[in-house]
Amino acid sequence: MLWWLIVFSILFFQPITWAQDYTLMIEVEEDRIEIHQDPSQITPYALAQRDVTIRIETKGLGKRPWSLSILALEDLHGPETIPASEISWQALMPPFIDGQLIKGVPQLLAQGKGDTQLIGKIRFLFKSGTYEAGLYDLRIQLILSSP
Amino acid sequence: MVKKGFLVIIAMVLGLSVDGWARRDIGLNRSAQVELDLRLKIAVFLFLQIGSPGRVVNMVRFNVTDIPENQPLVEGDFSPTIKIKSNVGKFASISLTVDSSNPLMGKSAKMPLKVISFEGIGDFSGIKGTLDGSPNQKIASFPGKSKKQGSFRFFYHNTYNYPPDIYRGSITFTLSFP
Repeated sequence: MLWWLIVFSILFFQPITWAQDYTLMIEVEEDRIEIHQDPSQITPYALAQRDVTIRIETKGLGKRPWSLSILALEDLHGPETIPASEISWQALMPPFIDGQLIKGVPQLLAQGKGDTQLIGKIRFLFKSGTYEAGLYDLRIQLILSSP
Repeated sequence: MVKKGFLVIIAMVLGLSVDGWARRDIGLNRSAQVELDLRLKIAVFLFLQIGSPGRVVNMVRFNVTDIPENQPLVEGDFSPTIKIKSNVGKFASISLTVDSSNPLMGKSAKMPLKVISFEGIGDFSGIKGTLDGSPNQKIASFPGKSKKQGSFRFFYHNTYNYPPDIYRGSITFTLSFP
């Protein structure tokens, strides 16, 4: 009986230890972003009206890595289709990094290891082009994950 | 005392429910994700440039030195660049009109601008006509979403109707949509 207990512990104790719970939390201060472009203004970019503040927290990760990414679920739809890649963002504080949306492909916004608590800000911008006047919509996901 | 306690409780409830964060997700042993809605508003614009950029009025000169038989048509010495750009919409249309209602003025005579004709080059090739002396002559229309660049050649139709002189005047182009 004792022998069986020793074998059981060797086989199952380690996996139970590795599967320790972890928690990932993300919250955003703004869930609606508006960018107004006036094409008569000779500026290379139109900036979002407000910055987006993002807070993330990871617990129980130990030394495991985490990453925060932005995913454009679609292209901008409106009077015509505008590629999501016309939207980019500027990181207003580290460890967030600048980037550009790509439809269907998560783009890295930040990464790190272990337990973290941080607040960052990003500013979305639209690369000015000759697109039809009107309203265009796009849904974006912010994803905090750990492999 | 009762009123004071009631106020304190309300303040605490409000303080708990409005924490300034619009969306939140907590993942236990999974990823956490929130969605944002992005709206882009693009304003309507029309861009028209005739000649040099900026607040410059270019001049086209016609040097008339001979009798009409030898010089029936005199081309202007300058063909101004024309650029148009608009984002009104591909199903709308925009119009290019010209105001030639003010005649050319000499010292002793006026010359109506009907003596001047024009012809487009580049993206404007195929557009040609004669100024009609009206304030709102439509000379071309384009799709509402357009970006075109070219130039205009101008010609003076030589006649004997006006005394030798230097005649000056101006025409105004307008790009518009209904």
